Formats: sequence, C-alpha cells, structure tokens
Amino acid sequence: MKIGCRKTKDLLGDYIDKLLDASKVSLVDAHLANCPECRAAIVELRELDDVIASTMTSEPARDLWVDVKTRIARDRQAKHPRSTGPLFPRWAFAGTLALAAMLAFVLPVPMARLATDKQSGASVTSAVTDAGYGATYIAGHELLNLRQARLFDHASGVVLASLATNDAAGNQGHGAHH
Amino acid sequence: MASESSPGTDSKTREDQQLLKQWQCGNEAAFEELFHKYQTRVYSLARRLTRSDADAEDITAETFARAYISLKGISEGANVMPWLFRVAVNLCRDLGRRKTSRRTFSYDEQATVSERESLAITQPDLSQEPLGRLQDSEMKQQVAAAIESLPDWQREVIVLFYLQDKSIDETAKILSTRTGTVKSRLSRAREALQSALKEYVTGSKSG
Repeated sequence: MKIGCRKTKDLLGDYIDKLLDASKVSLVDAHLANCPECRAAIVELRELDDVIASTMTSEPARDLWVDVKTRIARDRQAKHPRSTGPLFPRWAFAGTLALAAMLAFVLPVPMARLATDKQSGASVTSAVTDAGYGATYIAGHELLNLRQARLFDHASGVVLASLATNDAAGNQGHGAHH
Repeated sequence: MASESSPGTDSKTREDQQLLKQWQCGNEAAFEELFHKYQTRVYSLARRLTRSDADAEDITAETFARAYISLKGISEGANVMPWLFRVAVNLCRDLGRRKTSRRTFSYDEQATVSERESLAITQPDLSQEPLGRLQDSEMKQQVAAAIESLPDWQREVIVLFYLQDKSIDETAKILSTRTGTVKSRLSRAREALQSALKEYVTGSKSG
C-alpha cells in the first residue's frame, strides 16, 4: 500500500510528534523516500517545531517563592483565624462553667454527685464528669467543714475556677450522696 | 501505537511523586523543591496565555499556593505537573473573563498596546551578530509574537503541548477534551505559525 502527498502531509504532524503506529510510519517513510516536496515539507515542519519548543519557555524576572509563602500564610490565617486571634470565646465559655460550678455550691442545687468517706475522716474527692459541658467537677469534703471545688477544662487541663468555703451547717455537703 | 510521552517522563513523574510523599510526611523542603522544579514552566504557561509578566507572576504564585492546600491530601501516584497546569489554565481563563467583564474588548484582545509593541520584532544590528545566531534570534521573536497572536483555543493547546514534553494525552486531560481535538487544534496552530513565518521571511526578502 502506498500513500500520496496529500495523505502524507496530513500525517506529518503526528509523524514528527511520534504519534503514529509502526505501520503508518512505514507508509510515510516510503513516501518520503520518493518525494522531494514532502521531504522539504517535513524539514520545514521540524525546524518550526524546534523553534516553537525553544521559544516556549520564559523565566520569571525574580524567584516567586516568597510570593508563594506569603499566600500560603494568608490562606492559613483565613482558614484558622483562631490560631492568631484572641482566646476570648474559649475563656468566656470557661467562665460560664466556673460560675455555674460556684453557684452549685452556694445554692442547694446539686450539679454534681459528690462522694465523701466519713469512715476514714480524710479528705476524699470524687469526680463526676459532665459530658455535656466537657468539664469535671471535683468536690472535696473534710471534717473541718471546708468544702473545696475545682473546675477543670478538659481541653486545656487548666483549673478554671476553685472554691473554698466554710459551711458550718452542711458538713455533709449539699450535693453529696452516698 | 507509539508512545505519547517523551522519554524520561515516567522517571520525572516518579521523582515528583517521591517529593510529594516526602512533603506529605512533613518535609516542607520537598514542596519548595517541587516549586523550583516547575516554577518556570507554570510561569511560561501563564505568560503565554495572559501575555503579561505581572499576571503571569500572580498566577504562578497563586497556583502553588493552591497546590500547597490541595496536594496535601491528594492520593499517592498523583501526577503533579498536569495538576499544576490545570489550575494555572483555569486561573488564566478566570482572569480573562474578569478582564473581559471590566473592559469592553475580548479576552483575546487583553494585551495592551504597549504589551503588543513589546512583542514586536526589533530590528537587530546586522553588524554586531553572526548571521546564524541572528536568524535564529529573529525567528524566535517572530514565532513568539505569532504564538501570542493565536486565538485562545489554539494558544492553549500549543503552549500546553510543548511545555508538557509533547504529551497529547496530558494536554487533552488538562483541557478536558479529546485527543483528536487536541491534534486538530495543534495542527491548525502550526499551520498558522508556519504561514506567519513565511510572511515574515517573504517580507524580509522583499524589504
């Protein structure tokens, strides 16, 4: 099988780009061997191809890495504004919890189950986790009528509030259950 | 069927994937290495498509900033260069659309008069340069100007094709089109460049 000039010229682009299968390459090669006009056309196309390839790349006037880093930092800040912002919302939340814990001792409203060990007479503590608020109330009962309470924030491990009060009337603790 | 990738493409891809993996494992220097490996290609793509140095710098930086966010969670085996090119092409198109809506002329005509003038061929001093080097330099300038004057759909194809080591498949994937479409656009772009060069050569001889 042979191909003519028109078909060969249609295939020349794929030929120089190495996109033809072996059978078509053979057909083009056979035609080129006998056609000076198509040989001249492929030389011209290859020259153009080389010039295009060498023209395509442009170097930036400066290294753009600094620009990239600046944008990455900007994107991070936009994504996590709390990482650089004030901690007010977190502490506002913690303050609310602390106030609630203090009220639980001042008012006869049990917010946490307390446990005491009368037999040993020592100060014991019992922790009850309030899963809904993510805080733990730790209450202590001592024979000296001193009741202590501390409120922990699980996330930070910080003592958010502590309470120590003398309670002459209620040495068993308002919220204590045995 | 002959291979549609140039030799060395697979090893480059493997290198990229290793760098990507190192970066995903916490080695920040690997991302910087990827950046310096592809900065020029992404810039060249953006420069050819936008015809503006400033826009090309902006798009290059934005492409890599987006890569920093998006490639962190990309699967192992992802091909970095086509990903970067796809983002850069989309940013160039977005910029073109924004400019079109701001100005009254089309995306294709966004280059300013001064930009076009800067692309025009300057007549070199014949007494200063060797003939071969002169012809080569002149021809490059002529081809560069001719590429920039191609319509978008031809310019995108020809620029991506050459910047991607002549991969028809990857060019088609980036532009979300068929390989047949890429081939025909490439062929037309080459014809246009060839006739532009012939006009130049004819004009030079007669002038």
